[in-house]
Amino acid sequence: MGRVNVINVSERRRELTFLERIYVVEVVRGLAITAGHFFRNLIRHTLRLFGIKTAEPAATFQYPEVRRPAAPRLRSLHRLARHPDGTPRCVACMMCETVCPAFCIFIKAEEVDDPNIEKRPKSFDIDIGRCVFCGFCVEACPEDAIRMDTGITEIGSLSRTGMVLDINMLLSLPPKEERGDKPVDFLQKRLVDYNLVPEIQAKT
Amino acid sequence: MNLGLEIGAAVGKTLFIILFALSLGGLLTWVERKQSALMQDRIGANRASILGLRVWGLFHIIADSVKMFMKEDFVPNTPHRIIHGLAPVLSLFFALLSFAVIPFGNAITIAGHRIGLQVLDVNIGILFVFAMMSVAVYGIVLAGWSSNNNFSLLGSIRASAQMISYEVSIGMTLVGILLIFQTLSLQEIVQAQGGLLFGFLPAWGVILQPLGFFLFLTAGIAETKRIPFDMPEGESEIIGFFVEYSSMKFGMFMFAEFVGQILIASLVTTFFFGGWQVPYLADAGFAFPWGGTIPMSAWVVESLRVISFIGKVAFFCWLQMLIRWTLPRFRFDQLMNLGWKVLLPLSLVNAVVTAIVVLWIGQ
Amino acid sequence: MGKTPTELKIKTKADNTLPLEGRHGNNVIVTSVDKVLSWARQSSVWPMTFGLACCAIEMMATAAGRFDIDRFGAGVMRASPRQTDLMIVAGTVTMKMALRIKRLYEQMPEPKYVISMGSCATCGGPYWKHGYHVLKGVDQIVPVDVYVAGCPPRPEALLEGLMLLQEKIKREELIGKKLAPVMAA
Repeated sequence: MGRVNVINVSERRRELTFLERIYVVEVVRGLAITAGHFFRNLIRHTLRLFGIKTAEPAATFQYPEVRRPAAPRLRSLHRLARHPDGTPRCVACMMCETVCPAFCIFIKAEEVDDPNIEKRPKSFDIDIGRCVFCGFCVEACPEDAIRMDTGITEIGSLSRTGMVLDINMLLSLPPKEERGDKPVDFLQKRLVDYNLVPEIQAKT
Repeated sequence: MNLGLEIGAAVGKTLFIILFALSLGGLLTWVERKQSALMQDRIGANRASILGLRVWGLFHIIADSVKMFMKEDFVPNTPHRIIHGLAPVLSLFFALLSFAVIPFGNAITIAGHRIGLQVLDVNIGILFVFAMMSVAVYGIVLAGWSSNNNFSLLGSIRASAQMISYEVSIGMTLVGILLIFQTLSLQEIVQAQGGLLFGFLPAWGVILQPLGFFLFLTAGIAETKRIPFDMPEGESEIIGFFVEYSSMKFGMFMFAEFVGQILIASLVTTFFFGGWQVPYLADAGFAFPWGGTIPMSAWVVESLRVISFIGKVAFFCWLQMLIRWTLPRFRFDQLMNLGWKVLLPLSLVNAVVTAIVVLWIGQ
Repeated sequence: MGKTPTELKIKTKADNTLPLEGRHGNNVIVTSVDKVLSWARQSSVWPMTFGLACCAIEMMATAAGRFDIDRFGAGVMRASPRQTDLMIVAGTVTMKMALRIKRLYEQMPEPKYVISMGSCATCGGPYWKHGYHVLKGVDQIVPVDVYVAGCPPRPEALLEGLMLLQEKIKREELIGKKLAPVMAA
């Protein structure tokens, strides 16, 4: 049997010693800690400036050049997957639209000639402004069509209507493994909608 | 010729000290961000770039000033519009005016005339500094009162209460300095710190009055309303006195706060750390107590002294920034408690003990 | 930088049409002053953090050490609206708070910008259907410049929204900038 460390809680509130009550000693201890951090980081930054490799001077992930590595199950922007032969997997069964707690998926279905696949979506809109990124749609989909593995979490727009993703956008997004670390030209499409860039420049 | 030289010297000294205060004040805005970033393991502002150069974020100073000039200037619905505009000016004016008596070097000789490196060489230097500190309260009081806002009025009342209570402690601490150096003139106080104690220690004020140094630094930080004493401008938990100020008027208040910080740093170096004195440096060169000497020309000596003054002021600005980013804020009753019940009795005891020691040694 | 367009249509709920001066934008030579002012404004955006709910935690995370918002010049977070130029509405906007948001927005001096952070501020979020106490989107009371989606948005998303705002400021014209907007009735 292991030993359990029992802490007597009533001992925690003890009287402060004289040195603690005059506060000056504690101030100096605090200043020593922060001054230590200051000099340590200053030296590391300066050494890095001259090219000497040191430990990391700042704990910052310098977005947008460096992104924080995310968990593989992170629920990011949705995408519609395709079969290996290129046809979309989605059969417009409306399961995701029904289960969405934020009511942000809007599907219109149309017929398909092949009787094994009866329907396909004519339009599939997701209002990302309303989405709460819960992942229920992914769990509900019987065809493994909608997935949240693009790894894109940076979604900003200049208007509310710019937040609605249509089916072409959703079908064209690649999964995270294929995208590597290149950001998709998601943002540029929104800027060009509003005549704010004269031409689309793909971000490299 | 004599008159021309005098006027030229006066203008030159004034320009030097004003530019020193203003540029160091501007730099302190950058230093605050970078120092806090280094202390918190992060990178401060570094993305303002002109022509692709980032220069570690120094362009943010320009960006902040230009943006603040171009903001809409807001005047609240008050009958005291003139006072509302005057308050930040008063704050900054008196903070800058106190720099007139700070000596930043000994003296240089141009064309046979001796020019003391101090803008205003009066023999009541300490009283001048006190006067400026007392009048600086006006800027704060007028700011809160003319804003036509109940809460900023209360904030300015808090601020003025804090400032006048810590002025008393500063005064009593300086009585100790007065007893030792027996002169009110700042230049003479600095010159008197050039001697040696026990043969090898430089006779700086901090060795003669260690408790006085600590009390003066604490009371000085409270005068300039920096953290941990910034309850009047609390901003995240309580409404301060400059809530109704926008654009450059607010910028002036911020700038006056940094200039006050530099002023306290200069006063601490002048009274307690030898001002422009470099240890073992006499007018003719270094004179070490173990016998070696390094002869130097007068210009080199003076430049070393000015550089040492600037270095010491920079060190104390850094120390005040360190304290600002380490300690939490004091509550207002704790603040007043500290001012009246801790600092004032300690400074009185300091003055009495100093008087006894001076009389004892004088026999 | 590219040519500035002669007309700037922004599709928000409160529609801003250009004042008379802005229609002859290219005939008035202010571009170099424009560039300096836009650069100054975009490098020194001081936010008033209006952290109302869970998005406030992500905003604090953005301001902390891991993702430093101070790198973009936006680290000086003043609490008084008179001294800031960006209001980040982070969290659910209830009807009670909406009155205060309107008052604080009017207290901010020009030029001012609003970032609507998170799903609740954009459109009411998960309370969109059944929330009787929630204002469905903060752009019903203040004109929003940038919407950031997420629940809550990751710090990278907020930084991306801030960079999008900086791009928008860069493309603003001095004389075409939005003045105090007229709210749609």
